[in-house]
Amino acid sequence: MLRPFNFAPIFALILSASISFQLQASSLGKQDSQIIDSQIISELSKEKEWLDLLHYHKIGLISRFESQADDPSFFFADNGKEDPKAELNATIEAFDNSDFSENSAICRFPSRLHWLKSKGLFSSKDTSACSEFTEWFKKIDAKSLTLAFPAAYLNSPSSMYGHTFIRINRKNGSNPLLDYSINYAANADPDDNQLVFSYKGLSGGYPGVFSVLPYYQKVNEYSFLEARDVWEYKLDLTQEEVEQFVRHAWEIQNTYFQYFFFDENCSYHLLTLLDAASPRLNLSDTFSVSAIPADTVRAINNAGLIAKTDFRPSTMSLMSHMLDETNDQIQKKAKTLVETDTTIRSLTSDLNSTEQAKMLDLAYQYSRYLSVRKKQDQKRQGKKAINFLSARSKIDKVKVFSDYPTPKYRDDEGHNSKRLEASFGQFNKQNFTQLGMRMAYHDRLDNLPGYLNGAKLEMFHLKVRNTDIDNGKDTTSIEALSLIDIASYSPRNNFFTPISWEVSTGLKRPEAQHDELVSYLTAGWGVSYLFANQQFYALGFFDFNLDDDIDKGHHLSISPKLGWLSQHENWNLNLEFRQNFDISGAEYRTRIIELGVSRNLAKHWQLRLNGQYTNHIDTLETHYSKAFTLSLMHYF
Amino acid sequence: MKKLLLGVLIVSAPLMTTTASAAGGHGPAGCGLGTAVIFKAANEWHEHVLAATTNGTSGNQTFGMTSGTLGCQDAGGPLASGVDLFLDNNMEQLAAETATGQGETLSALSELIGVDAADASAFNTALKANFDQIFTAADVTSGQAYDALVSLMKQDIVLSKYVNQA
Repeated sequence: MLRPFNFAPIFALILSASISFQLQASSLGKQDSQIIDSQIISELSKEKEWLDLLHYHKIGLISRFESQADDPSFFFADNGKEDPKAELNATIEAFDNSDFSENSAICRFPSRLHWLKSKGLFSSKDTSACSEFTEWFKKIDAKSLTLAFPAAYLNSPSSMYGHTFIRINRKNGSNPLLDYSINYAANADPDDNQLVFSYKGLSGGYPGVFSVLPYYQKVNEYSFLEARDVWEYKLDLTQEEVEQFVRHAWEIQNTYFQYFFFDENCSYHLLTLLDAASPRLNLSDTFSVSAIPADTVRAINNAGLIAKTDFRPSTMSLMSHMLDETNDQIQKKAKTLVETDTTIRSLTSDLNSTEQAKMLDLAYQYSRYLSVRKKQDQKRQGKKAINFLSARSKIDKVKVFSDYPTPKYRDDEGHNSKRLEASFGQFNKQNFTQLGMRMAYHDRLDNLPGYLNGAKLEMFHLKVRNTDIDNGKDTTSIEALSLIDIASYSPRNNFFTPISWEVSTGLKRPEAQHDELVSYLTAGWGVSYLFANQQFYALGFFDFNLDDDIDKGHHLSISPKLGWLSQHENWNLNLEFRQNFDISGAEYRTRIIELGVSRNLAKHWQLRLNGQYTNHIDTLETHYSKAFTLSLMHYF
Repeated sequence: MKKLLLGVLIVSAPLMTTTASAAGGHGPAGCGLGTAVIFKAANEWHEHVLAATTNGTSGNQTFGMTSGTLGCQDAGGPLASGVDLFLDNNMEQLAAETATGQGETLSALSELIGVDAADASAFNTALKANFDQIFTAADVTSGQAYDALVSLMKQDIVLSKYVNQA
């Protein structure tokens, strides 16, 4: 990632140029802009730091520069968005004429000034007279930076896509909740629904903005409201780099960047901010096409920038942990307290003080879970919760549960986001070879470490198959194209009652009519339970297929699905049975049994065997088909 | 495609400005401080959850950059500046941690008040012992909790020095 030598020659040139310039400046004592040689400006405008501070990146084949900032007020030159040199000229001129009022050039762009000062320019000017900036900078009180990465969470596979933001650790003060955080997000219209949000998010319809918020506000959002664990990565940066980061954050505070969900998103722009803070960082360069947050964390890790990692469990994780450390009797009592009007006093007679404290802590968490997650009885649960806390405050025990254990694998330590697959197999006695590619992200048989149990999020998954037909001929065709495939099978227990669900759409060859490629939309809901770490599930699906070549042009069926999922650190197994009952359109029924087994070969390699047996019944006949596939998967 | 969308940006830009100035219009009491209750209604939560899930944010959040918590005018209460705002934003966490007598939010509160490390456990113990006085009911406001906190600290031999006697 780091390319420390690329800029060395330019740097040397600039250094010598700026030294000679300094001599000139001091001897002549004229205004800076009048004496800066156009050659020097031309060289300076090509420097990495200048390009990063203005968010220029190369576009198109001829490698023209364009800034990603979409806000005219970010530039001094009319053509500043496209011309780094013109913008540097205009900036220098603006600094020359700047006073120190709030909207003056110097007070608005302190990191540009800081960089120019490091080149020997404007040595007599600084930002100390910029009262608003100076006060803000002092309040931020930056000592170091921590990248926060909210982990994927149960029952929301889209959260696997993730988010990242930065905490600015203070010099004076130790509690991270009181630090500030810098966050880049689409400034969405709260009235837009989820669908509009997704569309606008993808197409750049929202302005992206940076905001600085107290870290406790972000923690409340993620740990508490969203039930997402947060990974924290302390970054190995110098004080100078940290301060330039904060100065630059000030510069872009009101600058709009169009927000693009896939590439110019939260994680990408944090990388550009880090790049702008230091001449040694080139983190954003590798993410020209897409920037999946976990990948940006990996890029930072690969650059050797992570000094320390911490894990911040969400309230849901903490409650699961409490359940692990509480026996059945106490669990039952806690549940009774929340769900009935039984008094606390009537349940505590046979419990010691630790057990009472456990019961009340658990009852409190469960009451909040019902109220917040399930939206049940909010008023009544609020009264109960305060009573549980009041009773708890009378017990002379502080901590009754152990600390939450840090997970063995971080979210960024899982397999890479994209996948290539090479397979061979047999379908109805015809041999085939198959190549596949998936742009994102994880399915239930993929290598598990760093990912959630029972969750799947796939986007753009293409399979192309070459089949040997009899007498030496062969044919190549698209086997399937899945555009989106999301599933969340999160197990229920006595306390948590999530719904398992699955949605997918794309092109496929129905088991019943393998010679046709049809478009489909499938959605299902159901439940799943965990017994001895084995997950069992039952879901009901609607499956809608559309194609001119299937009988009557469409086929709508309902299909129950039963399955067993067994996920492990090194291998996974999924066995499922499903049956389609047609509701309208083409009349056919199919019964399918499918077995998948996978074995990790390395962190980014996997071997997978898939077998499928189909029984197909339509108006005319009943027939069977068998398929098996052996695949080598590589994550990249 | 990006060029075409410029129109959207221009339309939404003035909108943001309006939001920011509206947020700045709060009086000296500061950003509706003192009104939060311990347990917020779930539909309020929902908006936040949606925003966080989709990596979105709503207009008033961006204001934090120049002022936000920095700018919510300090009402000038008897405890260090910022305590009222912190209380307002963390009522539920504080109630839960006060009941057990420890936690990150509770220690953030004591750091904000300026409690010395040596007195931190006395602070936790005093709050726990007075839970019912601070968090009298599920709908107690952060303003009421603030006042109760001040009066219990005043009466405490160790903690009274952290209360401005003005």
